[in-house]
Amino acid sequence: MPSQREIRRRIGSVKNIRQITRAMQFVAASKLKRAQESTLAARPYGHSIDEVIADLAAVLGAEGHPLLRAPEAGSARTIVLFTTDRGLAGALNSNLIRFALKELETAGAGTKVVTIGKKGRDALARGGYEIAAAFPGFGDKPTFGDVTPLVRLLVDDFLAGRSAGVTLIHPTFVSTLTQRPEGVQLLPIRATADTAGIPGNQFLFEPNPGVVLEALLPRYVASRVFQAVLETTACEQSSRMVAMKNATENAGDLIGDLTLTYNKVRQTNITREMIEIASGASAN
Amino acid sequence: MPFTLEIVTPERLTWKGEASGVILPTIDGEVGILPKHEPYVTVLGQGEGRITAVDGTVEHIAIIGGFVQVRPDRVLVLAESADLADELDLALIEKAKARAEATLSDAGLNDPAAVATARAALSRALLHLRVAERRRKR
Repeated sequence: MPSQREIRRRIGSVKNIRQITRAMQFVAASKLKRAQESTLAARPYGHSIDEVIADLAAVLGAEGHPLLRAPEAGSARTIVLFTTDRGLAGALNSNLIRFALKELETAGAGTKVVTIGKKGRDALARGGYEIAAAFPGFGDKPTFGDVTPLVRLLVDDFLAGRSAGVTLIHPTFVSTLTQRPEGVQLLPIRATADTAGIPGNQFLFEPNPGVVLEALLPRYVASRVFQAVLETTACEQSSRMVAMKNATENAGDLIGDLTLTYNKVRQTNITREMIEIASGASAN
Repeated sequence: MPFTLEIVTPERLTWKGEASGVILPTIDGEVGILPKHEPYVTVLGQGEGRITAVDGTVEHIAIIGGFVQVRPDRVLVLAESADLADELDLALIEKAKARAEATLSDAGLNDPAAVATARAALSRALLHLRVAERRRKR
């Protein structure tokens, strides 16, 4: 049986931990609200650009632009893994990394890896994978301009034939409790079939469809990447909030258990001392 | 007969509502879109736009890059950045302008990338200033 002092010390340290996890829970909750709002705010843009691309693809055909063209066989794909910089976010990062490792196994040799966030970089480096480029996370308030270097790298590699395609692996925000890792093909761009009932060839493109497509596709890529960054941020915060809420509750349970043990030990000691005194008195 | 106008950027929905006309800066000059415009897509440049809402009020807006897609009942502006005159913060713009000018005078011609970035920032700040001025005149 541990001593009273020892138990008291443990209760104290668990209380400190609970304070920290509770603070982290509330911080994550307020950041989550903002992250969720910006994720939702970015959706209309992504959806609209999808529609315009579908319209254009109908006019120009699938081969209208290098970014739409299927690559020649031979070169390897690039996998972009989005993770967070900081841990204590539940199973978010480990789920993502497991998903990425599975993808890498099936993708075969030579697959290039680009990581966003420290956690993914560390895990893949430990796994012995060669990382082509590693970006730090984009923080709590990512802006559209932040993703430009990443987008430029991906697009340049693809256009130069150094990569046969790009797959993004990022968590998708299903609900506060559920985040699913998802792999989506970024390049070559697959046009959606959604034209909302207007055949693309009814549009007048100015100055001409080629120029419009030329200007549109890089933005499309950037908006998809930006969306992935936003989803990652929202998932990080919600996952951390839930993990910290559980930790806070567990700490509460632990404090209850420890307090019970403490009282028992205290009572045992008192009883023992009483017996000692009583038996000492009767021995006299 | 008004149409639905939506101005979206990757970061937010800037404006949505019924409008009876909109003027937008394209790469080949300004284009005015009125109701019953034919289906149309074009590339936007950097400049100033004007929204005429259905109640007749005019909103000035600073637009940088992107697209406009005109459908029979809906006009969709996908801009890289779009800020209404009322939302622009003069103090912030002046700061951005000063920063860009400082970089331009410091960097000289040694660093082409920095010069290009600063030029872009400067022209953006000037555009925002011009649009913000509109608000004060009203």
